[in-house]
Formats: sequence, C-alpha cells, structure tokens
Amino acid sequence: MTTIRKLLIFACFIEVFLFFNSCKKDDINPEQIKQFSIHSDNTGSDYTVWVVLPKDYNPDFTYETAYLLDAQANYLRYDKIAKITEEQSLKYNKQNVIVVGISSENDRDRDFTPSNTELGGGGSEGYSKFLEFELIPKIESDYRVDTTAKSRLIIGHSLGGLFACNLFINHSHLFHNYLMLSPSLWYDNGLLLQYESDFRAQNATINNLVFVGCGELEESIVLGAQEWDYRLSTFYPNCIHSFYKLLNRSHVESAFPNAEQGLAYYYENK
Amino acid sequence: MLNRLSPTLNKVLPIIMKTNNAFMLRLFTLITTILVVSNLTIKAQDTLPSYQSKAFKSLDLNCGIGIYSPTYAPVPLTLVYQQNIKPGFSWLVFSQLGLRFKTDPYLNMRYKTINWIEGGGIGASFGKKIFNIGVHAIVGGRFYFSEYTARNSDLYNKPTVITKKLMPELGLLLNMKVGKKKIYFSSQLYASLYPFKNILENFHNFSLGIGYKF
Repeated sequence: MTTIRKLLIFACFIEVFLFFNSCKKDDINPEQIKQFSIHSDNTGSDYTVWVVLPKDYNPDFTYETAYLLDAQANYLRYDKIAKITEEQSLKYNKQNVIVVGISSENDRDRDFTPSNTELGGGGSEGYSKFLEFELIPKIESDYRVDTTAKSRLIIGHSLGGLFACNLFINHSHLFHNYLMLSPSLWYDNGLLLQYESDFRAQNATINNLVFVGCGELEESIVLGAQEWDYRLSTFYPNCIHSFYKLLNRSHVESAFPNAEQGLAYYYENK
Repeated sequence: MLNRLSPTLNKVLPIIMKTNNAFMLRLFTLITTILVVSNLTIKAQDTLPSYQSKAFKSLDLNCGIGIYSPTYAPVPLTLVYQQNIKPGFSWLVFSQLGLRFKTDPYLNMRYKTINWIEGGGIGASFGKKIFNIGVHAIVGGRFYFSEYTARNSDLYNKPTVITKKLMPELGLLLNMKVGKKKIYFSSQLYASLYPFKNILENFHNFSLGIGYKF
C-alpha cells in the first residue's frame, strides 16, 4: 500500500473521529457550578462539595435538592448527573433540582459503612450527622432550597448505595427520595438486611420513592438488590419503587446508565 | 514382536551380529531404532519453520489470571492454534475456558463462574527466529454461566442468583513467543471487547504457557 493511500485512510479516520466529537452535547456551564470545602466535626474529615445550580436558577423560587455521594468519581461525576437532571426536567416539564455533589476521596469506607470490619470503618452514623446537622443546613442557608425531607433526593452507588439503604432504615426523616445504585448489601454478612427486619415495624408506613438499580453481571450485588426490592414490595405498601437490572453490565459500568434510569423515574413520579 | 515387525532385519542382523541370541537381537534392534529416530529428530530442529515462514504452525497452551478483578474473575486456560497464511500474516483458532469456584468470606457467598470462548482470528506477527509478537482480532461466541448463593440464606427470599448467557465474542489477542526450538515460551494478553459498553469490566486476562511448533 502506498504512503499516500495510508495517509488518506488515516485522514479519513481523523475526520470521522472529529465529526462524532463535534456531535457531543453541551456540558454544564462552569458558572452554574459552585465549589467549597466543609469540615465536619461529626466525622473529623474535610469534604469538597460542588453545588450545581439549574440553568435558570432564580432566587425568587425554592428548589428541590439531589445529594450525590462519590461526586468526584468519573463514572458518576456531579456535572454529568446535573446534565441528566437538566434533560429530565425538560422532558417531564418539571422544575430542575440543585445537585449537591459530595466528594468521598479520603474516608469513603468509613463514612458509608454501618459497622467496623476489615472492609469498612463503621462511620455511617457520624456521616449521617454530618449531612443532617452540617451540610444540609449550610446548603439551605446559602441557596434557595426547599427545606422539607420530601424535597430531598439521595443518590448513592456501591457502598454509597449501602449508605442510602441505611438512611432509609435509620434516618428516613432526612430524605424522601432514594436512588440506590448497586448497593453493597452483602456488607458484614448482610447487616443492613438484618437492620431492615429489626426496624420494619416502625418504618412500615413510610411513603418514600425508591429506585434500586444494578448490573446483570455483578451477581453478588444483584442478590442483595433483588432482596431489597422484594422487601419493598412486600413490607412497604406506601412506598413507590422500581427495580432495574441493566443487561450485560458490571459494577462500575452500570452506575451511570442506572443513574439516568433512576432520575427519569424520580422526575416522572415526583 | 520386533521380529514380526521386521522380518528383513531378522535375516540380516544375525549376519551382522554373528549371533543367534534372540534377546540380544531384540535389544540391538531397539537401540538402533532409538538412535535412528533421535538422529532424525535432531536434524528436524535445524529445519523448523521460522515464525514468519509460510509453513509455520503452532499450538499454544496458556494459563493465566483476570486483569480487572484478579481475585474474582474466572481463571483462564487458553489453547491457540496458529497457522501462517503468508509470511507474517496468520489465522488462528482460539479456545478459552475460564473457571472460578469459590466461597468468599467477605461476600459471605459461594459462587461458580464459567466463561467459555470459542473463536477464530486473523492478524499479523513480527519477529522471525527467536522472538515473535502477534496481534490478532478474534471473533466468535461466548458462553457465560454464574451461580451465586448467599451462605446466610435465611436473610434472603431467593438466596441464589443464576446468570446464563450465550453472546457474541469480539476480542484482541496479543501473543508473544520466545524460543527457536520446537517447544517455546508463550505469553498472551487477551482483551475482550464485547459488550462494548462494559469494556472496562470485561474478562480481560493475561496468561503464560508453552507453545509447540509443528
């Protein structure tokens, strides 16, 4: 093959690549994103927080909020989630939410787990207090947000999903809406499943919105997620919930598509 | 038995050996056969096709480890038959069986995973005599089976999850051979490209083993 022909083929590949790249949707405007750092006395850690305001944010209105755990993770980053909320709000003709992304770079295993094991530090109670008494009040003082639990959504993946399940059982007054993505319900011999049984009677009347999503190829997660969905169906008649198993996806690769699916469910039903 | 197989030898050998002792004749025949065959074999080493020659054919057997999640991914055993079409360009038959049977204390689950790939490939290789590296695209099919069972089954309405899938397979094989004799050292890197949207977490693997030149 001559050199000129090889160059022509290479140029074609570059053109095709640039064409598809140019078709990319617009990202969130950086001016919509506010970043700050907050220290928690409850956990002893510092957290970076990103607040993504709706495009048409108006301080004369109050907004609902979506709290996103692991917000720095590339597969579930705060600006990508904010992009989905923007699209879904337009699709369902409903007011967009303020996305509050919380970083978890340092103490994730401690903050999201309910007990102290080799795999986690059992600091979820401290982290819950951080949310309830430190972060949420700060967001409510700095931005025009609805202060009721009904207006709050929590999005967690993996151990973050486990933490969301913990909030559902033990702190259901904080959030009304839950996106539990690939929750690690296997943790500590299924401790959260045991908690759910123990506290079921007092939680039976709650009427939260719950979306549980997982990937087909993360079987250890599917086991717990299916069980969680079964319990919601059987023991929580007032909850509206949905279970979604994404085909041909594993743990990380299912996170973002399931977040999209969950946010669509949230906007459809809020 | 040797006498029945070589009646000519039976007539000639006593003349050479100047003996009619049957045991000695049999022993002499056996030793001669071994020497002749090994001599032929040694000569064959010098005439082995190089990795780039059109006559090159090989069979590689490798065992390895999953790349993304080594402690959970099935352990792969790979058999690759490769044959040159023209110098530096070859087709191959790719078979891989991955197994993992384990009781995991952290998950508190027992699980079995089987990942079986059959495919054909085509690609190019570089390196002639001692060292050769090949890149081949693999197309075929994959059978995937897994069964996960929670050990604390009392907590679960359904304590077992079974996944069974038959799906197309598309992959990329990087195959390195080192050695100029009939048996050589082989290592492989296999990247499973399908499903495309799960590419990060597909069962990519790295393996080591030996190859045999025909």
